[in-house]
Amino acid sequence: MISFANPYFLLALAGIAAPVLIHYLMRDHIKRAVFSTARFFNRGATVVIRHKKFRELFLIVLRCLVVAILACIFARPFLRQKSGVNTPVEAGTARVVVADVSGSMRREGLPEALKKEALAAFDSLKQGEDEAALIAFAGAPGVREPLGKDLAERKEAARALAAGYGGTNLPDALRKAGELLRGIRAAHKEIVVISDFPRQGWRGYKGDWKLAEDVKVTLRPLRPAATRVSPCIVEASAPGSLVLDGQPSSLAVRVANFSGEPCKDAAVTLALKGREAETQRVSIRPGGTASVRFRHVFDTPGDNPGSISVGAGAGEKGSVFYFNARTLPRIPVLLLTGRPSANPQADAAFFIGKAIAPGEESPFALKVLAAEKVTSQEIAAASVVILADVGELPAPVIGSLTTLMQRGGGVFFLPGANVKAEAFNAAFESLAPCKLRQVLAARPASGESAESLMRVDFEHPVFEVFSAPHHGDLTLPKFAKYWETTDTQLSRVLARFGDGRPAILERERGKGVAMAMMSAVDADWNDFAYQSVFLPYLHQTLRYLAVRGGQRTAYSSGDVLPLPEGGTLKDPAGRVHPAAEAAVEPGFYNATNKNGEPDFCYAVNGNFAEGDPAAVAPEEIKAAIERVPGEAEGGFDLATTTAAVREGQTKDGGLWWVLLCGLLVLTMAELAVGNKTLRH
Amino acid sequence: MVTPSILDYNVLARIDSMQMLAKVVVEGFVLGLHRSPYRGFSVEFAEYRQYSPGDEVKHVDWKVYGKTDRYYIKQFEEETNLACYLVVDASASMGYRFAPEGLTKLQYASQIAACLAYFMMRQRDAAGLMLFDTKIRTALPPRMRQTHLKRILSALEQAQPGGETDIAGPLHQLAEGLKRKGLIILISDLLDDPAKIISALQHFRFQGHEVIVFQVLDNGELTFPFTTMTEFTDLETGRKTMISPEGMKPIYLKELRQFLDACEKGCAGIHADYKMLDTSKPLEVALSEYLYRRSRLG
Repeated sequence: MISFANPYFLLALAGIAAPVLIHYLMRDHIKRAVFSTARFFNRGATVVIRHKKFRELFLIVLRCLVVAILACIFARPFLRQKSGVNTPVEAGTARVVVADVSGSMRREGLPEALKKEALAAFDSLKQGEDEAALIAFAGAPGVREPLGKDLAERKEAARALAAGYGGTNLPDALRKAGELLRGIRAAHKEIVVISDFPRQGWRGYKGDWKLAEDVKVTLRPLRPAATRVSPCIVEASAPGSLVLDGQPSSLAVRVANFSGEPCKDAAVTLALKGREAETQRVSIRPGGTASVRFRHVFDTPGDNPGSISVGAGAGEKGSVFYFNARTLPRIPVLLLTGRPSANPQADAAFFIGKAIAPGEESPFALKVLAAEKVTSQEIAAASVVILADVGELPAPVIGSLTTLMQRGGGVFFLPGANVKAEAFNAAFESLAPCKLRQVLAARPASGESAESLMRVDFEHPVFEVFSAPHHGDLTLPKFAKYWETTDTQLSRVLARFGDGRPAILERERGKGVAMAMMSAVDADWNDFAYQSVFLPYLHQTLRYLAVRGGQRTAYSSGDVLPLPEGGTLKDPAGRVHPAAEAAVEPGFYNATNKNGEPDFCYAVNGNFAEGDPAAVAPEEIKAAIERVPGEAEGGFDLATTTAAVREGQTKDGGLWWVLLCGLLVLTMAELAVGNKTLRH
Repeated sequence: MVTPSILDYNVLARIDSMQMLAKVVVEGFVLGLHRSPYRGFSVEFAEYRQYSPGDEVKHVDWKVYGKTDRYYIKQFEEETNLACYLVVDASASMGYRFAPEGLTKLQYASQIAACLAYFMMRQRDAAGLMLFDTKIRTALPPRMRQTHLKRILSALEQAQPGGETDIAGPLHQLAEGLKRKGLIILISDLLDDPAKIISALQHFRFQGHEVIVFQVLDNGELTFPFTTMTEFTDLETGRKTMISPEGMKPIYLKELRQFLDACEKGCAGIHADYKMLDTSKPLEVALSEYLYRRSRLG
């Protein structure tokens, strides 16, 4: 059975009238004339006229077909299996029970009501005659029980329903239920949705699909027993990974009061490692929100699990945001100078070293070495290696740099006058983001003797701090000399000189990143070191290169938490899981390695949007997804517009291509016949 | 009096200036290349012309030389007793013309016949006229009198296209009635069965007549210049035929070519002179072309 994804294009079939009309308007107007004798064309005249009429008729048919096929192509036809073709069983009633087990269903009285309604939905079916399925959703919908006639199994699954912490996603759940019923041969097809129908859970519906016409929807709204609503967290932010730099970090939550009464002096408490660190109180008007911000210096290396909780009163379970600010020790930076000198300003590493460690509070642990004296051990100990005007290195050291990048470290190239292109390209071919060609002296069109940085990629983490106005002018540094690059196809150019040549590039190598600035930090080459943006630029670059190895600490309910090989996972309830699995309950999940030593702490949070108790009217949902009898077939049919279309594009893409090829053949035939058809 | 519409005096004067008449022989229509077997009773003085080297000395008029001290040659008009029959087809198909401003084939044929009749009268030849379609409509026996020329020209002027063409029948009828050898000039579009026409012409040849055939065709018939779908009505039969000219044109021209070839070859087979004339071409060009052609044949 052929259906169309864009059936409105079939209106273009009216265009078939166009070639007929054009033929009618442009047809030969017959003249009348006398002639001395008809003896010379009596024999051929009839044949010619007959041929002409036949060809013209054939031409009209061809043109009409071309128009029709064009309309069909734009309507995106696809083959749809007839209902019931693959139906394994027949049933009087096929009912899919969709149970909401999202975080909002944890409210008082709702879990019990959910089970009761689900059981009632199965009880009304006839055993052995009707079939049923159970879908539960907290975030992504999952089929707990597929369509089947064993109602006892379905009821058992209904009794096991328990609210989770995920978000409400009504559209996806209904779509899933509609797909289950598609192709089922049953006298009645029903979907029973049991939910508190939070408005935020319906926002994902864009109105671009509807259920099939023969599917009826029954909505069973549930309301919590308690009418009082506590203030809850609706949005939160906390750092995931930090560098131990002694700087305070910001932790913030936005608290909403969804109740109809004002909330006065609600306590918002920051707890670190299980101990209360700070409490702030906020008052929120009905329906309003308030932001609460904490600043804390994380000075302990390693995991810093913490939480921000909001509780309206004693004895109430408040809304909690969990985080783990994993603090990294100072970033070990190895600065290799290719041009060591007793004169500090002649040393290629002088300005860089001063910028990296301007004082004791620097987040970087800097070690400066002459390039020829570096060892593999020193590179292995570093997180970032800076090659300041280093042209070549011994092979073992290059191997160590490769290893560093494979484990997520970074290498920063700053080639200068000490570098020879051939030697550099040969030595760092597998590490550098590009090759060097030659040193260029800046000759900008403006007549100045130096180029500026242009076309900076402000979306890159290194430069995003400079994107706001008055946050550093990267055009101030002037570059008198710089290296011309080649083989940059696989690299990302972060900034260019005024002549369009790459100035700063990066390229991922293994888990790490190699970055290069094509002009050494040298007074003869540029004045970058004298500009105020130099220090933040360098710090941002080193943080970017070093933190790439940082591990994610924040997860949501439903996410699968990574686990080291042979390690175990301990959930907030204290249960130990031997393998990685999806987090369910919000809280801290502690991973241990195969030796039983603590490895990592994950902070898992539920869906904060679930705190919003505003509900959508069931009638609104019903009106949106149920198709009115007589509504155009295929127009917004869930079965035809979503899964079927997607399947059609893969399976029945052939039909579309056949039509396209047919159109091509017809067009060529039309051209051939049209050219041969006599116009007079 | 002959009306200018039929007898074009400019044409006649131009042919006259070509000094054809002195070379036309009675039987071959062209003098100068051989002597006529039909020399008449008298030779009438026509004009003087200045002597030029190569002229016969016996033709020098010595009296004039005595008076003027210059050599003049006497030129004469010769008179024969050739009987010439102008047979003009006046069937319906002869009424066709493609260009509205042009001549119908019958008008064109009438002009040719008028010119030839005028020449013959000046040549002292006897000229007769026969107009026919399916049967003989007008028959004027050959006469040499000037009044007879007027009758011929008057008959030509009044000729109107008639019914269907049946060339062979009237020609056989004419051949049966002729007692005296002469020249038969058939002016027709010959839109009939070529075999029958040739058979009729052969009838004249058996009786010792010389035959000249002018096939008069309109330029529209020769080029078939139609471009749009046209419903043609046959002038003779009235039958209507729908034609797509672009497709029909090659077929038509091929058929016409075969027909003309059949006419020309048939005439050549019975030693009759054949000339196809296009009504769009000037009359004097057609006549000059013919006379030149006839003179070459000897």
